[in-house]
Amino acid sequence: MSINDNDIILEIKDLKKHFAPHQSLTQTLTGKNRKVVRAVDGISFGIRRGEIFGLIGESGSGKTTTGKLVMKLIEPTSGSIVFNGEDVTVTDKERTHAYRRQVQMIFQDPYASMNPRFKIKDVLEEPLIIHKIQGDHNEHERMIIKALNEVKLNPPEEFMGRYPHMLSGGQRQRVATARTLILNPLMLVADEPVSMIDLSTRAEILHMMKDVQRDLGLTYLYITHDLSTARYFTDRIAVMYLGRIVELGPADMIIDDPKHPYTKALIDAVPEPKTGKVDIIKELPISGEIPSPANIPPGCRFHTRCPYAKPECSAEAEPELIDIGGGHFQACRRYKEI
Amino acid sequence: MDKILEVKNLRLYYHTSKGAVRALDDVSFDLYKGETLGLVGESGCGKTTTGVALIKMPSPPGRIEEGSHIIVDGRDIMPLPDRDIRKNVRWEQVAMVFQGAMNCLTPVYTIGKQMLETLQEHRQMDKVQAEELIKEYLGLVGLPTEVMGRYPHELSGGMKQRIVIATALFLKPKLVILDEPTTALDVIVQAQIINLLKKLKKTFDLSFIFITHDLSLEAEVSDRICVMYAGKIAELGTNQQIYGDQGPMHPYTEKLLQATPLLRKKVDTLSYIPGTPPDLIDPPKGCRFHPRCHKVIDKCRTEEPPLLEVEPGHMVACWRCGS
Amino acid sequence: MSMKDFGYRLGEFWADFSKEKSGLIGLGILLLSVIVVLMEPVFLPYKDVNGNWRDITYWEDNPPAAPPAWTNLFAREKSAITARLDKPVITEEEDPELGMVRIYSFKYPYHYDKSPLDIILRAKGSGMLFMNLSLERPDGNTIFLGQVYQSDLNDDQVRFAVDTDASSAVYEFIRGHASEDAIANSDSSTIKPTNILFAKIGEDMLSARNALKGDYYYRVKVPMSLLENEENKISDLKLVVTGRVSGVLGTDTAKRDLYSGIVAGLKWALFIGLVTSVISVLIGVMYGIISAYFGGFTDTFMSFIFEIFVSIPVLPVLIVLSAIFKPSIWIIIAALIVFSWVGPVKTVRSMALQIKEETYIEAAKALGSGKWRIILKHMAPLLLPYSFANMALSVPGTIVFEASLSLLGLGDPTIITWGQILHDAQSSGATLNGLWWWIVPPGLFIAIMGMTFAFLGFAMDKILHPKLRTR
Repeated sequence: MSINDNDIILEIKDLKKHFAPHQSLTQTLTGKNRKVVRAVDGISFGIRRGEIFGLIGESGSGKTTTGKLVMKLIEPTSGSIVFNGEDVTVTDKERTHAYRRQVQMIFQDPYASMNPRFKIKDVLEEPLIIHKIQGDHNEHERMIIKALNEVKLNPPEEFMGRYPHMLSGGQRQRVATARTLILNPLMLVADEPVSMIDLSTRAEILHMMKDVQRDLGLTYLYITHDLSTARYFTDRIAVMYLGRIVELGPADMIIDDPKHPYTKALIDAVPEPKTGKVDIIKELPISGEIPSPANIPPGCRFHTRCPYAKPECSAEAEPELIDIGGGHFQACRRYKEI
Repeated sequence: MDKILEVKNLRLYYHTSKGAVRALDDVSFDLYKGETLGLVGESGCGKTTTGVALIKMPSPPGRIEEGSHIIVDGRDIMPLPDRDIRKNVRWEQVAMVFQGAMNCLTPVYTIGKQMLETLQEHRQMDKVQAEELIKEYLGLVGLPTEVMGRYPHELSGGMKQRIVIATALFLKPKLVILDEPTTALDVIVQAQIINLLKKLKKTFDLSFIFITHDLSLEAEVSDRICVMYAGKIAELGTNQQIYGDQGPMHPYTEKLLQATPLLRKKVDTLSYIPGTPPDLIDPPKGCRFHPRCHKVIDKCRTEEPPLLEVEPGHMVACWRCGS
Repeated sequence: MSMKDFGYRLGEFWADFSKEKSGLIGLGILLLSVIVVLMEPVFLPYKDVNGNWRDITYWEDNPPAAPPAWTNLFAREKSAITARLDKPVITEEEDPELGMVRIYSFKYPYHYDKSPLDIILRAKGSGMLFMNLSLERPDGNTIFLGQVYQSDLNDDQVRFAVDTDASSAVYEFIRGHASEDAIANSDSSTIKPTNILFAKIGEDMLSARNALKGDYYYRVKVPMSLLENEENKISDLKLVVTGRVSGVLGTDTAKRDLYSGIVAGLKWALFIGLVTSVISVLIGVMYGIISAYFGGFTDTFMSFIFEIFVSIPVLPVLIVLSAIFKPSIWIIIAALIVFSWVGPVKTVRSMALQIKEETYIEAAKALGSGKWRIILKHMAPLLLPYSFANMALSVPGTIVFEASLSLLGLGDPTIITWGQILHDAQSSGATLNGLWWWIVPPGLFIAIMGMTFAFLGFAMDKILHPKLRTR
């Protein structure tokens, strides 16, 4: 399915999510500054219809929170979400309910995302019941079988009567995918869908997801920390650091030619199944650990760990994404010098 | 090179009401002084079980079966009573960093107190001496001494893992078993920890057993690699033999490598292995991998292949890889 | 959900449920209880027990504090069992003293070692009534027991009890047979007539009890001359030989047949125990889930209300209530519910808080599930096993609580409950006097009722925890 550059199905503009955790009594009384956790701090990107868009980040980057914002499981602090041409930043109950039919989610833990007391049949019937899809239980059964066939769980009838704990991790993730498909959504948000699955089955699941996407014309937002699978699976990626996007562009371009120091550090750190590296102490110019999202460094938030940091990086305002051609954007003002 | 560990015919079965789960079924390998041996495989292959077996801590109803020998620095620890193991072997000669250990730090005590407890359990030291030693090791793993007064929830994952490593080292064991030490960490922190482990290994001339499911990580860490499947060793070879250009010999290892996505090379299709790991109560007859193997022949279905040396230092358990 | 779908789901549930033995046992006990309640008249030997529990005249003929009849199987000396004879043989004869008489003869075969406690004759009469009563023993002796003479009867009951009314007549009989010393040391008030009537003649009649076994004939003689007058009628002659043991479960000190009491109390146990436990546990569990799921202000407010309820002093409030309201079963149930619903709330709330964080709850939200669907379909089923455990424990509790309420005057005197039976046992010193049959059966049945719920709970648990299923 060819991707039209101008057909944007999901447009995120300057999206922010700040959490204000509970204060103790003394904090309220003394009026001390509340620690605000700026999990997502102003991100903007657009996903084209029919593409697989990867959101890469380590823990604390805000990628999971972004996923939840797109799913409308949490409300944004500011910014806008435009889906299919419609502003869905703030929606009433009815519109939110309808939104759920269009945007669905696959979770990381294939076992925990299903009620262990539901049979597979019940797991798959649930969305039909929630959205009051017409039909008696026979018609529902037909829809369930169709969804199971789509994710290649054969024979479907045999799986319907089983419980989640009787299935392998890969099979459960197929069921989770089937569950999202049964409502014919437009977009799927997948949060680390294969990280808890064995390596030998991982590719199988990703294959299945790619086939499903092609057959049904879906769009994916693929959230992960694993750059390697992201390269294999996605069309474009956005690299997040501490709540902001530092680099965005076609997957191959970003990985073969990274511009932002953080992206470079990330790529250098990933191990490879090649011989001859056992005695090598890897060069890691990056120092320290990721700061807490409650204490974001001023200026360019990466400057505390950046090997190329200069005084102006912390003094000046936060850098925005710079277009460097070919659909490649990055947020380091000094990129030409590094 | 001398051997720091010899494992011979290790069998560990879990005796459940449904039958004996043969988690480890006749596993044998050696570990030389100063080397890192990698145990790699997928869930259920027995790599973690091997780790706990080496310190004689199988979780009930698991039991190390008769006929197994675990020879640590020349002494078979199998016949030793638990008291002896506790006093002289565990943590003194063989230390283990468990999977998810960093999440097992007690939340109600400070780091300093927890490390002190372990140290004083094994050594007659007064508090001042012990604290000095702890500070030394915290420095070795790159942590400031003020960490001693902190609670686990105040620290990041990387810091906690360094503490766990320091705790494993301060009794100066000869062998450290590390079970998925970096799985829960971010990739940059993972690289930092791996660098740290390599430095410590050189400084103290340690021997490591590095257990992980991540083949790419194994390549960068282990001198020799042991690929496990369904409680048995499929292939055992040097880093070069497994990851080098001519590729591994066992079909399972071969497929596993093909299923590993590469970052720096564009891969069009990723391989996968159809099917699931076998039931260890009633494993398949013959070679345990045969139902999923792309090179299976009739002999594989009936006779179990022995682990044979196909070239110096390279052992394979496969009928298709004869010598 | 249409009827067809509902039937389908019920069928599915039944397919799962019927595989669980414990569930079937629980259901079986429940069904059995319901059948017994519905067919109460069939099971009750004393049909009118429900209205007459507190009417002592209804129980007149029973022995007090008598063990169950089947204890005879284990006793060396067999005690007489209560016999009811209501089909006398009617003959007409010439009597030397009374002229033409109609004789109503009751045959009583006696082969026990220990004599009955009493022989009671009842009759209904109108106009004038005259009866001559005698007992013919197997050894040929006929003992005159006494006479009944009453006039102006209007279909009224007439009663003659040997124990109370025949002592002097029996004393006369002894004087001819027992030893001089024994007679000297006693008088008509110290002897027990039935002991004598059924004992072999001998010098030691008064002390030793050698049972005279055989057929006894109790004869009621009514002069024909009386009956010829149409105004005088006599009918419904019944003889009750009160044994030392009685009934399936014996009697209490007030002579009430305990088996009837238990059977009659079953329906109230079911009603009070079941209804109260089910309603109060349901309220409590739902309260906990809602409080936990909605969180925030709702949670705070609900917890506040909960604290108030928990702090209410039960006893003083009940005493006040009993002063205001006329005691009835509905007040009792209401009171029980009001004070029991708070039980499961705290635990359920913390369990629900944990469940709320589970990924599949988030997944359900992502699918578009509304709050109530999540609460009812995802959270409540997990708490069902705990609810059943709670119900199992609270059923016996409510039954006994009801008995305490009776003590306070809030009990319903028109009904019989197991709790009341137990309560009476305690206040009559049943334990001190070794009246085990008064205590064990009610307690046992209360426990069985509780176990029924435990069994149902096990089955529900297995269905809701698929991993525990043995298939």
